[in-house]
Amino acid sequence: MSPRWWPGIIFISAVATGLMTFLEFESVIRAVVAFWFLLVCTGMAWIRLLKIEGWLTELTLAIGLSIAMSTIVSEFFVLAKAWSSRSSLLILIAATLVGVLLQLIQIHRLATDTTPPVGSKPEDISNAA
Amino acid sequence: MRATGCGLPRISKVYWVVYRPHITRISFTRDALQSPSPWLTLQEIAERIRLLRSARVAPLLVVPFALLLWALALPGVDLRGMGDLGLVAALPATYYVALAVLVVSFVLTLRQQQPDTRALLLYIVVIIFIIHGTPAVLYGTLRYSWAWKHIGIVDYIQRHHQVDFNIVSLNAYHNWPGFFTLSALLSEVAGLDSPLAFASWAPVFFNLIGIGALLTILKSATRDIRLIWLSVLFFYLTNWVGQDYFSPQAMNYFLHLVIVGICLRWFSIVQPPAREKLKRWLRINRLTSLVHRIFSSAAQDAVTANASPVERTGLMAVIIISFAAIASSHQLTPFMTIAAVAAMVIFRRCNARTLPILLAIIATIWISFVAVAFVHEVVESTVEAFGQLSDNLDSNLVDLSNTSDGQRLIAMVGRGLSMGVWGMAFLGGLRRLRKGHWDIAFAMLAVAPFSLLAGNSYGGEIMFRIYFFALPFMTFFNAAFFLPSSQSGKSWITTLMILGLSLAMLGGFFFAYYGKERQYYFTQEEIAASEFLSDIAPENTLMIEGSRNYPSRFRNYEYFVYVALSREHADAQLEMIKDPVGMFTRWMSNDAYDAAYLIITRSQKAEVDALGEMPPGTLDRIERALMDSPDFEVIYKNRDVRIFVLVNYGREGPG
Repeated sequence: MSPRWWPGIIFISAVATGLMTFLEFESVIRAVVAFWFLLVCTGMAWIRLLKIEGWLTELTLAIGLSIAMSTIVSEFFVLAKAWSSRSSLLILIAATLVGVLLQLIQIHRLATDTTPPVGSKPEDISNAA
Repeated sequence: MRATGCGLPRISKVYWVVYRPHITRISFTRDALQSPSPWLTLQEIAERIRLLRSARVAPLLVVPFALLLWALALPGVDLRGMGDLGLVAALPATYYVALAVLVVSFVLTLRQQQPDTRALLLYIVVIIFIIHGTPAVLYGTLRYSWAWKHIGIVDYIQRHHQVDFNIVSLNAYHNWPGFFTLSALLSEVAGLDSPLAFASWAPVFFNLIGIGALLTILKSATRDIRLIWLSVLFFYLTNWVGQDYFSPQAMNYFLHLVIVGICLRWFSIVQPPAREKLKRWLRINRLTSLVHRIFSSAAQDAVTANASPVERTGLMAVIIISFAAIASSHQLTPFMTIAAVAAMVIFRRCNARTLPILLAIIATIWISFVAVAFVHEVVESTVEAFGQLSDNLDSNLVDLSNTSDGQRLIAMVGRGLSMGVWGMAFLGGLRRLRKGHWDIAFAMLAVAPFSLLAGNSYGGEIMFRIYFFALPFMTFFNAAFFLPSSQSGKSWITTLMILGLSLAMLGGFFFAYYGKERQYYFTQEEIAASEFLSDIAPENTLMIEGSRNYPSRFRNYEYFVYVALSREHADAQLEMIKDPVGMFTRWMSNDAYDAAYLIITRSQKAEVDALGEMPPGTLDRIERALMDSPDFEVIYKNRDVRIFVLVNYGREGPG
């Protein structure tokens, strides 16, 4: 999967999960999308910013962060004695979209940045030019 | 010699052309394809076999073959016919052949000059799917009674929208509710009534996501692909303790591995401490040299990943968020994580020196401000148990004198497998040492979980938890026994030894993991009876159960008081055997409760008889006595369950 697709995939997953949940869409697709979003996308939105080497490592960290974020957000509402899956989901969608936005900014900056990376050798400058 | 003569083997080139799309490395030269003879010479055949061996075609043949064998094996399994050895004896030979084929192919792939990591990953994924997916596919119901209790906590949260820190039953879960709130969130966002729809697949899920975490950890110790992947295989062949079901510990174990992996890969120190600094602490020259050598070797072995300061900050945030989830989801894992991170910091494999303190603060905050009620209760027992190493150890081991023959064998195989892993890890560590690899971080991480033995028996499970948390590092040393360095272990003898041990581990795993399935498996009839009981029983009901091993507490659980006959004192058990009618009449006529039921199920009988919790056949005898008594009535029965109520004593019946 091309790295540039991730922001789009995460964005679509977030919107799809939100729509299907709030419109109470009854289908097995809803379950698949919900699991995909809550267990992968919420973390991937942020892990992508760290430029982790290796797709499996990146996916593992994304799943770990997704589980942790979803746990903490849902737990917060339980401790507040006002547990609500919809409120939890809204917060997670918002957090995910912020991550996507930062990814887009990062991609844009990398595309427009012409300065060589720190520590590069002089010949790299000529290549960049 | 050309193979064109009569009687010599002939293979048409068409065969190779058919297979060409799958073979990435074989290419036909123009000369070969334009050769006038349609037949290959023996030399050409040998050459093509060599190419085929080095080609990445094997997984494309082996994996479908293994899956086919597995699919053919399942329909013939008679679950009701499961005996004392659980699924081990119930599964047909084709099932075992399927897994053996995968293991053999995995080990042979490791022999390649450049092992194909995609093939190795595929094998591991399929092995996990077959091992842990089999019960989910076969049963069609959630296995293991504790998983049902976990469903009950999610049910509580969904109904009450909060937890009750002071609840009497299963209060630890209310004090560390993270896993259950996550499960409730997943269920509701997915449009499901409860986690029952996906909980059966939790072992597959948790084992699959563990692969990446394991690889992250193992890649920090070596660049040898063979050693890394053999460790992964050994991990999945020896992870028999069954902590991967729908449970908080399974989720937290994964997060724990993620944290350890991040510390080892991105926060690792590559420079040994300065000699002068060491000398100031150690004083003795020889000792200073030894310690410096150990740290230098460890620094040389460390494989670290590059990260900018910003990325390291992000990774630290991942650690803290993950640990916050752990600290709020499980009692034991935070201490395991703190011990592991502290060991890494002390032995200079993690340069985030304040991290253990930060993690300890997070765990303390949770315990001090949220889980106060629970901690208050258990602190006394922990203080009592602290330092009683032998007592804590003994309470983990089932008294085999009362168990059935089959269960005795199962327990012995489990213990043997664990001892074998520990023993071989020690030898593997020595072999690595002889090759100049100190692996001090992994050694410490393998030993760190043992520190918990001093604290508590953890309901008789601490040895299994220690084994579980030490396993990734133990299996690394197990693999290192055969492959202590990147240059060693390339002979066929070593391959055969690895193969032999892998198959032996697989065999042991079957017994240790599948051996209790007669108890862990619940029939549809048992679930139907439990649902019936949960639905009709009013609040403040006394639920008398043969044992706790059946689908219980998954709905409205907080309304009922549970009494398990198998957990009663020996005197009470003797009395119930002697006069069940009299005893249960007394219990069930207790006016403190609004209703009282006695439920006896197939799985309860299986557990009681297998573990020797009561004399064999006790539950059958109780069942017969109550059926013969005019004071008791069966209000629900099917072929696996009977539910009794007491009649003719004045209290109004249910509903």
